[in-house]
Amino acid sequence: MKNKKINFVDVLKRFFLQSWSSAIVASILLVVVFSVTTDSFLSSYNLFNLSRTATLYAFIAGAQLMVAVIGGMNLAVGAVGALSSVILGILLQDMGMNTILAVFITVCVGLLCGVINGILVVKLKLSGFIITLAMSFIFDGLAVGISHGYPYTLPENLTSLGRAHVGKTSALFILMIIFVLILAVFFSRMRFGRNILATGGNEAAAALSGIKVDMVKIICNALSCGLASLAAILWASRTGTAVSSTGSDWMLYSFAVCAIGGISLNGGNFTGVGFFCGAWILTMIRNGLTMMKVDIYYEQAFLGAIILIAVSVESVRTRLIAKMK
Amino acid sequence: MLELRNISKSFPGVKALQNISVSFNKGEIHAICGENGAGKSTLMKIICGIYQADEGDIFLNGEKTKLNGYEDALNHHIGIVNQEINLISNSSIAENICLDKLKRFSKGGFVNWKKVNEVARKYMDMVELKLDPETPVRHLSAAHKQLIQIAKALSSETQVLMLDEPTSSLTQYESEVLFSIMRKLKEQNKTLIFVSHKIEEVQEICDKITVFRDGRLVGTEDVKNVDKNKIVKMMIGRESLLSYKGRLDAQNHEVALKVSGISSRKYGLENLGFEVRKGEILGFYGLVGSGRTEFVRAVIGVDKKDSGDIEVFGKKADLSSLSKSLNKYRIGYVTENRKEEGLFLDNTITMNICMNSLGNFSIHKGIPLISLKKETQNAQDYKETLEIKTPKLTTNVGSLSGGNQQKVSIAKWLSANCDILFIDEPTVGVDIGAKEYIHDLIWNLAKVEQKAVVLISSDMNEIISLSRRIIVFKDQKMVMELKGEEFFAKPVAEIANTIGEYFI
Repeated sequence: MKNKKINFVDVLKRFFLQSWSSAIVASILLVVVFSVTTDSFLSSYNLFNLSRTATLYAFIAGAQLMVAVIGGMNLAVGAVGALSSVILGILLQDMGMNTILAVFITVCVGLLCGVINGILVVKLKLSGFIITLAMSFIFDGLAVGISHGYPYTLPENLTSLGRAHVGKTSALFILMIIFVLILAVFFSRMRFGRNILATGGNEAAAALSGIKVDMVKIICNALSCGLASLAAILWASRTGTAVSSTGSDWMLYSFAVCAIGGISLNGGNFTGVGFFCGAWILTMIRNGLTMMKVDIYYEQAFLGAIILIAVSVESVRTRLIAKMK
Repeated sequence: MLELRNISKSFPGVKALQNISVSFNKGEIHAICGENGAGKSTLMKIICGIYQADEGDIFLNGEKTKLNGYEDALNHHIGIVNQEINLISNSSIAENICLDKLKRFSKGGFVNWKKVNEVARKYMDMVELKLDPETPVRHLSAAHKQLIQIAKALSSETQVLMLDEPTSSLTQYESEVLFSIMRKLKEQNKTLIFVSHKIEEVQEICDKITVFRDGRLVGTEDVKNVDKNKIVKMMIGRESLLSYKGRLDAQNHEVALKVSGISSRKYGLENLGFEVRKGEILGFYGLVGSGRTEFVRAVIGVDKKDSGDIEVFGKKADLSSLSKSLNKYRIGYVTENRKEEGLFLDNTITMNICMNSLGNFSIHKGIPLISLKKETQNAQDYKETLEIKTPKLTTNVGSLSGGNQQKVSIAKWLSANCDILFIDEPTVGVDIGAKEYIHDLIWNLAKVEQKAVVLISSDMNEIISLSRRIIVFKDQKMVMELKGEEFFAKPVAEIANTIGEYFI
């Protein structure tokens, strides 16, 4: 009997040693709070919707994640999303291209945007902040300029993906799980993923370990914008239209998910569980607040407060660990 | 002047200091020595008010004093010069010196810079710093910055001055300048407390020495009454083993690396070359800035070289980048700045050790997935063979001691199965016990594992006891080569003299 008790404390201790523990606790708390205070939070229709939105945020945040792990940032996440939406729209509506081919080309355009960002960051030796800030205006401008702000209608075979059910959940949610699993395996079990984390952890040491640091930076920037494109495609399939205003708020949300998920913006670490919970927490907060009939105009303030609480808890946790040692 | 009586201090899980009593007199340079973790820095922090002792009292001029915080210590004329340089690099020398008392020189928010410069001048004179007080600190050398820190500490009318490893970033000449200033301060009847790893320095300038071990006081002695071996014995509890290690006999072994005609305009290197054989330890001796590290970095492709021919095991090799040197030719480089350039401090021991050899841990040949089990096993093996002291392999490297960190950074290259290893200043900031261990390790790399080792060091004892061929660097040139197994069987002091002639 006594033995069991000690084990429980031990398990709890080990749990809180993990960087994703606060994200898990927060997720559970939110589910409890929202399901008690609202009637429809746990309804199957709402859960279906939540799962679709969480997927979108996972991809948007994934775009930020790919540069956050090397200690960089991408302020052009939303702008690449906007440009991708417009290109997707042109390819499908104006040119009537095959959907799969159009999706492929759109992602390639995203990757290309990222390669440009990456090369500029590496060759000009400027911070990602400046480069991606400038590039975000360019991408945004191109998106608005090409489309003049008009939305494009999309064919049925793309939009059906956004609405599809798989059993009790959405097709998009399955995509999210696959995405997070790939990320987790990539960063923990693959050499290139490890090299990325090493570059983020200590760039000088990574270079002296024979890692081609510049190449890593370019590829991470490319993947970042590629994921932003992918997010734009999923967004279009979820909403049914492609429009240049897509992505206007993505950049801030992408940082928020990473921060809530316990992913250091200084680079060097990644946990799949934290990232997964981060996307869910953000989605649940936005959805739950609406359900609780919080005045929509105040939503952002609540969101900010909750993010602040999440990162404070994380900071207290790390300090407690340091003390325990 | 300053007396500590029965001081004890504990942290959760450790007794950092146990019942320490020491007294520091006026006009005295008092050395505090001990291995890492012996309790030196805790003691310093108690003297300057950052920590409060759990038990015991501090007496200043015979009066019982309680120091609450560093500012309180400054008001009692106690100052400290930290090992790391803490200056604001874009501000002027004068502003840095007077930073904590700018209030005194300002009226309505505006600073009287003329007055600040005057006051700063006074303290700069004390440390013989002949520079314009308005020079920005940014471009100054480490030695000048160190002197500014001392001037800053003195500017609070300091009577007790603590210097925490002040020479760690200085060259030998710069250290001498610092010592003459310390002697001058001593003549002004100030109390100087000198914390150092370097026994030679303690013998050179200190009057008294107090040695700590594991949070206890081993003893306080007059420096002139103790010799080096005695001090080492006090610090580690046994005699120093730093001595002749034996023969390597590598003259007829295969040449592992042959380098010729290396030039780099950027570093002023011209037409340099060497060769190193399997099972040999070649020493590159030279002070910081003599070109030894720059040369090595150019050879292995960390920095660009303008020309040069390289052969690895008799075949022409292209070492234009470090990743080629490592992945194609199995050449490793243990850097001199393990914290900045060698280790991933926020990552686990396992991750650090396996960083360069991830290709060896695939779950199955040809599948690009890493087996965490194989990776952990590999780290565990190195932890055992190199006796890395840590509770767990998942501990972050940043929380290990200097010696254990160095073992991890060497393990990283051993794990990558390098045949040729460049090891740069392997024992800087490492305590004596771990130092010996690392020396044995390097020796065995050559003697037992038959690696070709190039040891780069400014520690003469180290390089003489380990290498059997030494190339001396000075002013970006190779000025001398010492060789012959018999030569190295001579007493260390005699060899040191031969080398030393080049530096007088």
